[in-house]
Amino acid sequence: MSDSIINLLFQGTIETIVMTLVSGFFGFILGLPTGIFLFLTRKGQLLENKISHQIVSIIVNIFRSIPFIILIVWMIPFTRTIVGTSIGVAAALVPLSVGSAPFIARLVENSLLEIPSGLIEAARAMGAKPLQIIRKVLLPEALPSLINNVSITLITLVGYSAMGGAVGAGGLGQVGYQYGYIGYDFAVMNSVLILLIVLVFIIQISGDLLSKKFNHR
Amino acid sequence: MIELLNVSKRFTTKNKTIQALSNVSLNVEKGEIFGVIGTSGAGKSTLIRCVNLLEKPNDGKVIVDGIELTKLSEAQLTLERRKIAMIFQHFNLLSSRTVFDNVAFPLELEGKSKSEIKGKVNSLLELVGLSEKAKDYSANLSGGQKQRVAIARALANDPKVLLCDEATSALDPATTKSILQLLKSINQKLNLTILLITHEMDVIKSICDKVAVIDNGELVEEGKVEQIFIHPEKEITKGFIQASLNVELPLIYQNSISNIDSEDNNPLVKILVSGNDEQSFVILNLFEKFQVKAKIISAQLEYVGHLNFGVLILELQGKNINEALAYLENEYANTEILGYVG
Repeated sequence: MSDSIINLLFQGTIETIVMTLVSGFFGFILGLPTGIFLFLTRKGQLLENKISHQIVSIIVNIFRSIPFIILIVWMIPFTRTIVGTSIGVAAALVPLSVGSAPFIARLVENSLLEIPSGLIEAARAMGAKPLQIIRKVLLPEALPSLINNVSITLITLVGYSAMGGAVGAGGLGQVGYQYGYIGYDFAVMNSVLILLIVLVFIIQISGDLLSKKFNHR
Repeated sequence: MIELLNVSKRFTTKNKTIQALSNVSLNVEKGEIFGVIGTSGAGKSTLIRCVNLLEKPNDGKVIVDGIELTKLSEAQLTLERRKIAMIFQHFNLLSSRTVFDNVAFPLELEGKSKSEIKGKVNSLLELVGLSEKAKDYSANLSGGQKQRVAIARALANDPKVLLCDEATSALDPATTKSILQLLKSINQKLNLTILLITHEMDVIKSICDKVAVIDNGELVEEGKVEQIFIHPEKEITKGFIQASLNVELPLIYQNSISNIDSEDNNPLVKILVSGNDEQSFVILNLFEKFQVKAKIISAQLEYVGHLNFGVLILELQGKNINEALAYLENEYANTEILGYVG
């Protein structure tokens, strides 16, 4: 393999990592509060509110039903107004964040549902305010499960970012697409594959370790 | 200290309405341990949750230490709850926190300083005998230790009252005993008012001053524990008392007992001893009055408050058996001839 190809693979790996982490970060900024909201407004929970729950739930479901490749294209006008372009890593971050947020919201909601309801009841009985319950009970108690969900999300985002590569988002996806689909290059194709697999394994293993570290159950 | 006035609570599901509490009134004096006993589904859980308004009653007033909780806004209520401690059947400790941090939780809610929290938590852990476990997580504790942590946590904000929701129901008998002793000693040391709910008469018997019996959402009987034990009025109350006195006929007697009342057979009689000294001299009295010898087959006697209370099964031998039986039926509650043995 020539130096320029190795350079290309290295560049692609960095771009994929950046896209995964940055969009994962923004995905959580959007998805975490949404997930908490979905949980708290459920029947029998702290801020039970059927209508708000239904509305947010429907929005989340709508976004979850759009295939990612369609979402990227559909969002092009919005992406352009936010980052000024619809091509490249920065442009990919917008649909990646928006696409992962509803997914994250559902995962967060499920993590919170695993918390024994007695803990929330005990916190209420001790006179904890709603924000204190979120900060001191819900999030810490759900932390091991939330960390697992971060790994699931990041792995999904590695996949999404590769899809983005097909429409010019950069990263390993684009390298694989160009050198594989357009003129099949065996070495590059398989290098991309191996790099993606290694990336996914690193995310999964470090997620498992961290989750275990914070699990005292 | 705790006053419920005509409290009613209904739960509405799709198809039906369940009346969990109807017109419940009760009054717990300061420094008292008040027990509410009932079978599962009788409404006792709802009752105790109505005291700190985890369940909002549909009607009625809840007054704790002169403050009418049912009138407060949600924010005011949250602050007031900090003085109404509660412990639970399943402990409800936070798994993400160490023992120390669990006890510190209510103090953090109040925004207390680090040093203040440290001093308070350490003294509480000492009180419940768990200083060495301060850095452990609750997953590594036994049930009894978890409940001790929960008690320390409950006491952190110097509460006015302590609510115990089946606090010993998930514990084995020995641990139950030690937790009950701890509650009693806290009650005496701090003059803390305790309201507890349970389905076990043993809990009532060992630490309560007063008891109320709840059935089908209504308080059917209420009074001092000794008084309820000696003169239970309702069938359900008698049932609870019976269940706490598990005296059974030994197996060899179960096999040889018959209904045949003849010259050669001796009656087996079960009597309830309750309270007064004269009743405790049953064996001496039977002999002096009727020259009847009473053989103790099985017995369970214990103190309820200041009263000796329990059940005896006696085999009577002698000439004046009929007079002796008449005497027992006259003097003792629930006298029952179980059968005859040869």
